[in-house]
Amino acid sequence: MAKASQAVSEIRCEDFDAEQSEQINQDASLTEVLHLAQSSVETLKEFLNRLDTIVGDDFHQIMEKISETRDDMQLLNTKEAEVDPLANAENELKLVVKATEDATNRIMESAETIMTADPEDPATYHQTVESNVMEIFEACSFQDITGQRINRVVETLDFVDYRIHKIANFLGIETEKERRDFDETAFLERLQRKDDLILHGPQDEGEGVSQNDIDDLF
Amino acid sequence: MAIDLSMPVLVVDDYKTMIRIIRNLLKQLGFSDIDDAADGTEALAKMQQRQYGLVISDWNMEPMTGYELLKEVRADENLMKTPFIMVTAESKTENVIAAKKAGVNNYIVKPFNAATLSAKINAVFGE
Repeated sequence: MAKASQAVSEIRCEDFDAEQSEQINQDASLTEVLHLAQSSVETLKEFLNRLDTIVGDDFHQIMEKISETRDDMQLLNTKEAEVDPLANAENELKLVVKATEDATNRIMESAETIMTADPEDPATYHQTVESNVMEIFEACSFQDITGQRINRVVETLDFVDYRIHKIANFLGIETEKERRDFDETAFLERLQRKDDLILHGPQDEGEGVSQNDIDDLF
Repeated sequence: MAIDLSMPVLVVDDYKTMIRIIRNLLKQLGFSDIDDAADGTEALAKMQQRQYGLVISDWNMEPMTGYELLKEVRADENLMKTPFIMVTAESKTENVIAAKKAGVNNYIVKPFNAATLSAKINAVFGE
């Protein structure tokens, strides 16, 4: 019985040693797992931090692009634009038509006056012809003003083209041909040149200073 | 002092029609020696070759504007005293002030008539 008890005790001791040994082994594995887990968490954290920055930057860029596109679209939207380029272009063309019509009428009136002048009084006839020829010269200056107004309409079309180009570029629907045809640098340089050299072109009626006001300055 | 109608006058404009108009108006006023240039660069080159009694220039031209020409002329000790009239559609206050600061002698807004051109030439020459 005592032997049996001892044997059992030994067995238990053996069992205990085995359990203890296994526990130690298990503890070692758990430590390693915990190390691995910690290492993974740190790596993941680093990855997530980097991912956060990359995604953050991407989102920031997307927000900027959306904002730019919204501004571009607002500028094309004549109701919301501070300066209404399309309405201005329409106004320029109306003024071109009016200037052409006025000049034509002045030229025809002068020509009619010459045609009906009495040549039997040479002095009066000469004076009439001379003053009306001068009137025709002056009327012909409409071509300069209308030319500048039409150039401004062309610039407005360039402006619209530029904005559409930017939107198309952002949306990824720009064609190769559009990319080739539009020189953005040259366009921006032209705008800068106009600012630097104070090039506004002809003013509308009632705008700008009158000749009398200018004469006062001199 | 009477204006010397034989003095050479340089008309600078990129619109040939406008050059023609100013030429004809000047002829009507009695000027006989009228030359022309299509922009500031050509005008400056001509002015360095010949002494003009009067320059009548547009503002908006390529590659050199009338405003740039004016500043070049006023900066050149051989040309700085040449009377200079700006004839332009640029009629904003800032344009007139900038031209005056740069040393323009008179300023005519397009469209203009012969009487205005004559009056400004007379004013430049103190008549």
